[in-house]
Amino acid sequence: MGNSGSASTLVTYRARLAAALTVLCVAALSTGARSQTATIDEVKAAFLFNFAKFVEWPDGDAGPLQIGVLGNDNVSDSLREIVRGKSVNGRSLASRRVTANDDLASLDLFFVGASEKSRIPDLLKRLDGTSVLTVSDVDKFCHQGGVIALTQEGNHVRFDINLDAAERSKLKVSSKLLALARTVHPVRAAAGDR
Amino acid sequence: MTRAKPSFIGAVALGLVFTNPIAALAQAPGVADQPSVSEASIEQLLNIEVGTVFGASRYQQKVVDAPASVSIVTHEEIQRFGYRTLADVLRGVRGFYVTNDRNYSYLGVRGFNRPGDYNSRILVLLDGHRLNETIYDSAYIGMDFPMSVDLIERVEIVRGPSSSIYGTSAFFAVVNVVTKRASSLRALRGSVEGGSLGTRAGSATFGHTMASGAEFVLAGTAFASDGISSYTVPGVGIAENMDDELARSFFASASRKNWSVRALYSTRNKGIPTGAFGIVLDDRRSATEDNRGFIEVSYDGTWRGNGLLWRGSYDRYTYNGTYMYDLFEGDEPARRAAYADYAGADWLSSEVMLTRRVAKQHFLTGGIEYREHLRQAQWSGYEAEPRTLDRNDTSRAVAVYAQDEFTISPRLTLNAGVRHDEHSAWNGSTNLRAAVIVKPIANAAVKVLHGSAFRAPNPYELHYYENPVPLVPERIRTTEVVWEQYLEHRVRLSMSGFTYRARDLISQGSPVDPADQFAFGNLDEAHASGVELEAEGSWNGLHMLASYTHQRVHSHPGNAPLSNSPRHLTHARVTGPLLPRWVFFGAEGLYTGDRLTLAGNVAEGAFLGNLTLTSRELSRARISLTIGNLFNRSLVDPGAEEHPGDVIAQQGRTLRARLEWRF
Repeated sequence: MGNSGSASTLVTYRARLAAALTVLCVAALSTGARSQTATIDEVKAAFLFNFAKFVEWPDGDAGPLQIGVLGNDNVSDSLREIVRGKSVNGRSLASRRVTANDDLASLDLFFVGASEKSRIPDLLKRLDGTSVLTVSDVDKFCHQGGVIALTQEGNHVRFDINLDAAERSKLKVSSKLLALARTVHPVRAAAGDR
Repeated sequence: MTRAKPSFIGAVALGLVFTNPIAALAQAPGVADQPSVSEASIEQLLNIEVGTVFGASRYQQKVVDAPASVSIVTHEEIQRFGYRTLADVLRGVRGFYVTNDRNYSYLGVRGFNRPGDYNSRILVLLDGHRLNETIYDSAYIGMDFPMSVDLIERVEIVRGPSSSIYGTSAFFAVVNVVTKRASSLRALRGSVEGGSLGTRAGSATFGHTMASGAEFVLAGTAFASDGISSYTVPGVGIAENMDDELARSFFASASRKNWSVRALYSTRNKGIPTGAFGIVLDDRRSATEDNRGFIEVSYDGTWRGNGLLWRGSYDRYTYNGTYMYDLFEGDEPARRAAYADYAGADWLSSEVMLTRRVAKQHFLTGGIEYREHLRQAQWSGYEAEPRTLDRNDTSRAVAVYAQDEFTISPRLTLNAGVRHDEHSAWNGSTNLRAAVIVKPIANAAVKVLHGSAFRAPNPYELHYYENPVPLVPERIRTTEVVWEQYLEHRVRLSMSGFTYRARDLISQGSPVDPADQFAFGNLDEAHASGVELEAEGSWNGLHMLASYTHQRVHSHPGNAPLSNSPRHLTHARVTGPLLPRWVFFGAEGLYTGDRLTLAGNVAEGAFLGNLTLTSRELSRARISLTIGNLFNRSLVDPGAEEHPGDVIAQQGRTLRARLEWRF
């Protein structure tokens, strides 16, 4: 088995591998692609801002677009940074933390974190008939009657849309958002199926 | 059983913590770094990677916050690199290597891959359900893994001891396989595959979500291979057509609201070409058959403001080995006889786990587990002769654990857990894990990890021989420092240093009589230390990952290097478009350094290259091509005591084509 001839091949192997590793590290360090430093909560917050862009609220709503976040302080902190100084469709944005006892119906967009899972049926009942865009990262939020569910698939964040719930709330969801959704409920024209 | 008292007290203490009905948060904690996604379009957001892990702490947490060194392999990577088994997935993970004896695959972690260890020091979970069986504690990672890789959403690899939340076998690492949900399977898919060595395989998966929210997943897979036509066992002879393999698996799950039911069953037959255990080389009746199945009901919801997880399950495992021997009378072979080796187990498990946030800074996890081993049967002997071993044991195990993630400030987190296991067949074991996680500057984390783990003596070790000294659980203590740095431009660097001290390792042999090989004893102690480096980044659509591990493992006392323990491991992989928008490639190169064999020889270090080309989905179909051992290197793995050859020759270049379509 072990012999001196193979030892030298081994050295070349190692040298080659070390070189390959170095090249890879340098290549990786000198690249200029998008940042991967985002945390999942930042990504969720950025999604909320984008949802505001691609949803139309019924006429009559004016003034700043009110976003409320319950049960996830990281999302609310990130979102406050993201919406600062920005506007969508001529409306400025205001994001704040809310508690379950606040007047949620006065919001335009309401995010409820998965930690509030046990309260969700109750919260959705309170918002029935209002034009609040409800979003959550809780499992099966759309099936409970929420409008948009954020979910993780592999290492990526995906979203599902409940069109019935959107229509009940008189919200118009843009076709672009529908096309990017993983699933659109109800699954009638298989709109979300790519 | 008076010993069970600490568990009972622990359970009461846990009960008190979690029954306080003040509103609490059941979601995993985290700390926000500065936003860098604020300008991203929604398409870009869909492409951003968010690294989270469940298996490290039993709740979803960011990889940076996990009290362990963690790697994740996603289903996209499994597809891009043409992985067909869990062994393929794990082989490419930093610090891991796989030994194959042409029957089973054995995972080496941090320089430990002991002969005769059927992965009993690794805990493999399927969506949190323990897959290690209960006779040998073995975990299957080859074609014997009880589920198709097509159904895998991601594989979480948690290095280091995790007995503080999982108990026995979470010794060197925990591998948690997360399956795909119905919503990501999107209806019916099928695949057919063919390749070298007479390999043919097919699979079908079906996922459906109903308007009510109920979900269903069904999957079936079949695999057959003729294997290598002639295999040379050095000094013994040539085994012709002895390498055949046949594997089938079936998986079904249904869930509605908080409830889920899952069932799986798998069976696998494999010929033995290596003359293991001194069998006749060319008798095709020599083979092993392994079956594994379980059915599980679970509830994942809330209770009094706590997150509540409950599982109840029935598991089954059987192994049938047939080994053909020529029995001699004097010098003449008198007759050929089949030696049968059987193991069978049935067990029931139930567990409850609660999670709760207390005062914003604490995230508590606590739980109780119970396992009733209804049957732990082992028998063996020549056909038509009295059995040389014939046992059926029963046993039970109970455990209680608690864990707290304490966020002192956005820059400092403490994570500590403790678990006590009691078992009717051996003395109890208490294990700890503590982590200090510091984020000194933006996008950097330093983790200081300390932990202990155990592996309980299994029924095979306890009962196969009459042991002169009762066995006690194996123990390990580890310390590890991990530095993770996330740079702009999607680059991640990680560096870690570790020391492991494992003692009371169970080996075949007697602690009182060195000549007696018909016993098991707590014979060995080993010390390991090493460093790992890893870099990952994306550039122009290429995604690259490279890692290097340097480690030394020695017996203690004696300071002799362990067998099958490479000092150097280097992995690199790249994936990206070959013909933009049409064909993607996934290439990996794995170098395993020199390893000592049991006979004291050196299995030379060698390089394994694999390449996979995958087409994009063309009108519902997708084609992929995988070349294994691209450079056709001659590779060998060290064998174990039962192998007459000191090393086991591995496969040369193979080619595999796969067609996948969806209806």
